[in-house]
Amino acid sequence: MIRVEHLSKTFAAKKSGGLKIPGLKKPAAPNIITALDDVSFTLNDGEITGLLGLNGAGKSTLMRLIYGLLQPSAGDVWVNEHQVSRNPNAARQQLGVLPDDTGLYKRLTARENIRYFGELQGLQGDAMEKSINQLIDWLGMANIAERRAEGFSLGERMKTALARAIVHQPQHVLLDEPTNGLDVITTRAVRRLLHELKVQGRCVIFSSHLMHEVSGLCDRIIVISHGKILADGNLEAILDAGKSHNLEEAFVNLVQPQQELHHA
Amino acid sequence: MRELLNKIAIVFRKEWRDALRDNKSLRMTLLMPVYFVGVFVASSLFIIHMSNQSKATNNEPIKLAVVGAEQLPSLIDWLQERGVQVDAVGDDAYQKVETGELGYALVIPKDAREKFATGESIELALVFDATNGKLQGAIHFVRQQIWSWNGRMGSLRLLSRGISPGITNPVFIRDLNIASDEKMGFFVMASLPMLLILTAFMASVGFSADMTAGERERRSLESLLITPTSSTALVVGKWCNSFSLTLMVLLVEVTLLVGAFAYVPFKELGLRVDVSPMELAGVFVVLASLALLATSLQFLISLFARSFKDAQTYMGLMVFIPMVPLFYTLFNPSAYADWFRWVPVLGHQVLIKDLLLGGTITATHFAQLWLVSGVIAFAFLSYTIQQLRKPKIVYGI
Repeated sequence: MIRVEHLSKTFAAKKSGGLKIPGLKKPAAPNIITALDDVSFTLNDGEITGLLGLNGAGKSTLMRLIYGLLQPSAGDVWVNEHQVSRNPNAARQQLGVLPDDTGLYKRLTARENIRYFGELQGLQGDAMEKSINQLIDWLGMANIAERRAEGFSLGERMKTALARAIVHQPQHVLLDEPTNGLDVITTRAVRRLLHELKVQGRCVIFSSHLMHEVSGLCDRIIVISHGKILADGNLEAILDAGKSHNLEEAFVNLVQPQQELHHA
Repeated sequence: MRELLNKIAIVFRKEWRDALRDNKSLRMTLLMPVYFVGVFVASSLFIIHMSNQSKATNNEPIKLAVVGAEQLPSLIDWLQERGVQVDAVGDDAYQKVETGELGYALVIPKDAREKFATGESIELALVFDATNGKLQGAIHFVRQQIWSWNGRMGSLRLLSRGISPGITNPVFIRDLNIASDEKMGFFVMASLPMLLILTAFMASVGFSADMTAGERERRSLESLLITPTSSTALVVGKWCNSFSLTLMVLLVEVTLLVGAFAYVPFKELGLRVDVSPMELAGVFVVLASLALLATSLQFLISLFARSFKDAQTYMGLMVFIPMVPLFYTLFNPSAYADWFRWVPVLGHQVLIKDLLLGGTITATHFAQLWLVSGVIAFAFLSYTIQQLRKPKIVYGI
């Protein structure tokens, strides 16, 4: 279970540069960007939750706050009984994370890449090898397992990174746009894996901006725009809120007024 | 604690596997000591060669062809006293110099004896080919001897008229040239600590940058930091890799130096260079303490670099830090104060020099350097550990 309580995150905007002459102008109020604004939800075990939003909606920021590499400006995140800001390592032990655009170690084989993370997660011996073999099997990676990651295709990289993220069989799985740019076969393999994780009673959350992906997989959808949650519920609830019969239309209906508000 | 050591070992093992598979970088790193020792041996041999050559020319008497030697016997006597071998030649000396048969010649005019007796100035001609650089030294010597005879004769003449020679010589210069081949040899020896210290600083620069800035650039740092591995384990594991690599490179360099000292004939420079393997082992111990400091500095710098390229630029600048005291002491070889021993790099240099050139060495000297380097390395690494998971480092925001 992941509990997010009144989570906000603001960044100071980068200064535009240029020489400022002191005394000539009053310093402008610091330019603050609000990436997340008072977000609360609870993710349950045995559920796949889709985080739907446009580019820059705050999906990655939310993910980063959950795994504790960003500190919230307000609010907090709990992973089961662990408060992320207080005890990040205990929380991370129960998280499997595939960050956006992650890199592999090119000079290690796919199996060595996965094993390194398994060891860092505290796995060892037969249990670890068994887990690695199972993931290689599930993701159909047998042909690349002993190959060095240098020159892997996008799909091969993604599968390796995914296996690396969940080798320790975490209770909670966070995936940031896991099927981005993958071919149909690889996408299916990833989908199968997510289903498998759900059946095992794990809590899965993934971000995406692909409607069919979300509608096909998720038990619950959270629509996020400009750091705010616009809708939260199962597919029917989102369609209701967006007043449409297909998800894409509903999503646009939800997001559009927000967009206009911000660009006005 | 056991958990921590276990994690450090995991990171260390992975980084070594990665480094060993990076053949090209590893080869280049191991080439550095070979190159440095090569330069040292080559410059030593060059100076030995030069010194042997100048000794050879010093021993050979300077030959001077003179036309009309009988006109000024006192000058000829003076030159011969100074070790110049005077050969009387005929009037065609000018032509002979022109054709290259003679290197240079002194022409004394026919009326010289008469003019000398009456106290008039005599015009002597020194015939030579200025493009022949090899003879410059000999010509300079002859010219100098003629001038000093000239001064002497002038003084005698003044004295005979009751005037002090000092009147015509308000000043005179005495040349005290202390430059010698021994001195050059000393410079070569003094440059050795610099090469060794540079190696300690540079050996693992690429690897340190690769493990921090490089890892961020390849986007694997974030995934690594999401694991529940403590920042301490990650930084120390990676740092151990850089440290052991540097030690390895230094070991290769010191071993090569053992060979160099055994085979390069430093005695011919008149230097007391009997550096035993034992003393070079001492040098290695000193360098190891420096490696502690240098590698932790590399980590600190490359962690704050935005990219691998940035990291390499910063580290290029970092190498200049040790150069500052090194240059100072290179040009003031005798500069020394007790507090030098407490200053990193400067202290290392002093102790290495003592080991190579035979100064007094005590265990305290080693302890001082290990203490100072250890404390600084600890501070650098602690700061790196503390900063590792900061958003500024991971995401640059």
